[in-house]
Amino acid sequence: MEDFDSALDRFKKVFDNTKLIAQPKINNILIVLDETEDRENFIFDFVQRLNDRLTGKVSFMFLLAVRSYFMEAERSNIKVKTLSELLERVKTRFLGDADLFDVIFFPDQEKTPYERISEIIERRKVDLVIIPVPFTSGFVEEEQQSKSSLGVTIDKVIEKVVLDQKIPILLVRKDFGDSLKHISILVRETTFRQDILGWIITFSDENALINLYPADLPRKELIKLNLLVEIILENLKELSSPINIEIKPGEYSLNYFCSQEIIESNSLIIFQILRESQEDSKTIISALCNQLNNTLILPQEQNRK
Amino acid sequence: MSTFASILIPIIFVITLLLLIFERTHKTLAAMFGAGLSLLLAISPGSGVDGNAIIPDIEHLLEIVEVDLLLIIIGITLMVAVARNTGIFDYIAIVILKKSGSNPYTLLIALSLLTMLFSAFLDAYMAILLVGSVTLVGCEALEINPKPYIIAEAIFGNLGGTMTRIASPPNLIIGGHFDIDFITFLLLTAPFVLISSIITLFLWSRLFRNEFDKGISKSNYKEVLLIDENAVIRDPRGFKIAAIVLIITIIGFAISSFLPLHLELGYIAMAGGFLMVGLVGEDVEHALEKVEWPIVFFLIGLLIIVGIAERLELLELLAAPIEVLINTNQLGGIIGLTWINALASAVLDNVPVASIMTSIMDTLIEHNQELSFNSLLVAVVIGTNLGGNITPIGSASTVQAISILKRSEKPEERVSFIEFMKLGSFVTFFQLVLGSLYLLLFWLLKI
Repeated sequence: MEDFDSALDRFKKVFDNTKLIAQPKINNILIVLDETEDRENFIFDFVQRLNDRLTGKVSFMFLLAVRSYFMEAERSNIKVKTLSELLERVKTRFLGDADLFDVIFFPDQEKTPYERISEIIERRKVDLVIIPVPFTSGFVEEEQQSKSSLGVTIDKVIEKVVLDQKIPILLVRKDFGDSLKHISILVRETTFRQDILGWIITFSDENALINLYPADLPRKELIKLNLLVEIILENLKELSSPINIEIKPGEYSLNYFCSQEIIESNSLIIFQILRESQEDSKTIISALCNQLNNTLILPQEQNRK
Repeated sequence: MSTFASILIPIIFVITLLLLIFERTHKTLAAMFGAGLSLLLAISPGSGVDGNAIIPDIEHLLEIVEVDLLLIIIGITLMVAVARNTGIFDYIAIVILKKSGSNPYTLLIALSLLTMLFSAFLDAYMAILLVGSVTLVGCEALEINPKPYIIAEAIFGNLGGTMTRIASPPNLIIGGHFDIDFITFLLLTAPFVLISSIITLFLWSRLFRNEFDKGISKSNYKEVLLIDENAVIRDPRGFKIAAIVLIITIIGFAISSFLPLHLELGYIAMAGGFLMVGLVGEDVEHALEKVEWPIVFFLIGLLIIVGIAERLELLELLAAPIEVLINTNQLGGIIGLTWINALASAVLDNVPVASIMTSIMDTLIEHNQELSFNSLLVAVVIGTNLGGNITPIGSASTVQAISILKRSEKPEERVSFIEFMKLGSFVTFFQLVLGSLYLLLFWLLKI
């Protein structure tokens, strides 16, 4: 029966990899904070949203990623509140949820924000990194956006964390609204992430409109995409989630998708970064520079080629 | 004049058969041990009744062992093992599941026929193992009971085993002994197998009507449609090579019947197996591990024991009552032989049954020149292959099916010994009735 077991395992793996799951596997979330004054609402909104929508124990880690720029911040007369003060205030808004804040990490003045993010990822299992955009713009030269850079921290996070470490990142505009009404997803391959349904449920609000933009997909794959939408709609119906999903006709490139989509504070764009495409991260970075959207970048799943 | 060997060899023969019947030890061990002792006695000078050795030289031994048969098994199992590693069979199984999974009836037909074809042209063990595992996972995804499908696959595995000369060890023994070519064998048995498949599917759909009428949820089927069959391809280059080599080998089996030179199937199977290993680039040691060596050595042992017993004319004793039956009524005798074989194969391993029956066929043909060889052959092939469906222990396919279903935690998905016997004997009864009518047709058409 050893042969049978291995055949069974092989098929199970293939079937399991396709099965849509209603919740992404997120337990540990790293929220990176910059010098923005209104960090308290930013944290509160996200912690509340994710804590409400994700079942199971969700831990939040916070990185105040401006410490190394204190001197510059002080020189620029920007008041940087300490993380502990901030978290105390947020905690009081989550009465009884003391466990929510599992890790509090204070960076020293020696290292850059990216080095600190890497350190946390190495030490702790992180399932999602949330970073505000634009990140620390305004007073730190190297974090300023240009035509080919979203700032050194976000550039490196896209290249190293999403592409290499395969951890999703969520780039959030600082004027992020308290609800998401419009999600646009670029479908670059229909062997899409099986947790896409989960991501939609996690981030969209009632009556949200989800648009799927097919990339250059062969006809067979487009049929699969239609099927995927039908399944997602049936699942949403079962979950009583009033969400609308549409497939946009046409073919959309990553560059077009990232840079042309209408930007609103209550919209989100989602796409996958493809491992085999060496230029992917550069395209993403340069396209996102043009329009700062709320953006969720998903890595290719581990089990994909 | 009795010799020491002619007294001892029948005792060894009977003990070996008893060991095989009661499965007190591994069948290969029993066959090899029995063969070793018999051979030791048979090569002794003066061991035969005529004063010579029963097996005087290596040529006589090779004649008994039927090297072509062994080459077919080694070649095919080698070829299938290497091809399997590329993911080609997994790919076919998933495509079939996706194409047919919208409806329980089409799913039953597709999975059963796939098992039958894999079993007929490749390897029965691999057929149930592979189709069984995709069925189990597929039924879980479709949220349906796998029991009717898995048991049907076991039955169709044996039905496929009836169809070609290379499909099962009994066919290899019988076909090899009488040197029947691939196409002739196929033409004699395939019409029966096809008609029998249709009737079996009809019966099965009635037997499990309640289960099948529950249908399949559209949303579950859609999820199955999303499965990427390409994900099971482990070696894309090897996949293409495997497909080509498999097709060429099967075509080779077929055209060998028409070639002016006499090309044994064993050569073609070995060529296919070696080509597969060489072209796919499989690790040789790993590939050789996958050859079904236990069945190869079991057959070597068994053929030696039965061959020596035949030379001592021991099997004429077994042939005598069958001969009486056939002499009384030729058609009735041949039909009776089908049922006798089926019952014997239900409780015994069908390989020794086929081996002994081959020797009995020799005697029957020798003593009765008017006897239709084709009818005799079809009767024995149908009986030995389909008898395995009567009990859960009747064949490797049924044993495998039971053990697959045992894994389920849901009692309604398991099958008990008695339940299997009821289902198996019911279907086999109809198959044997059909086989009898088929033989009647042979008799009427003087085939």
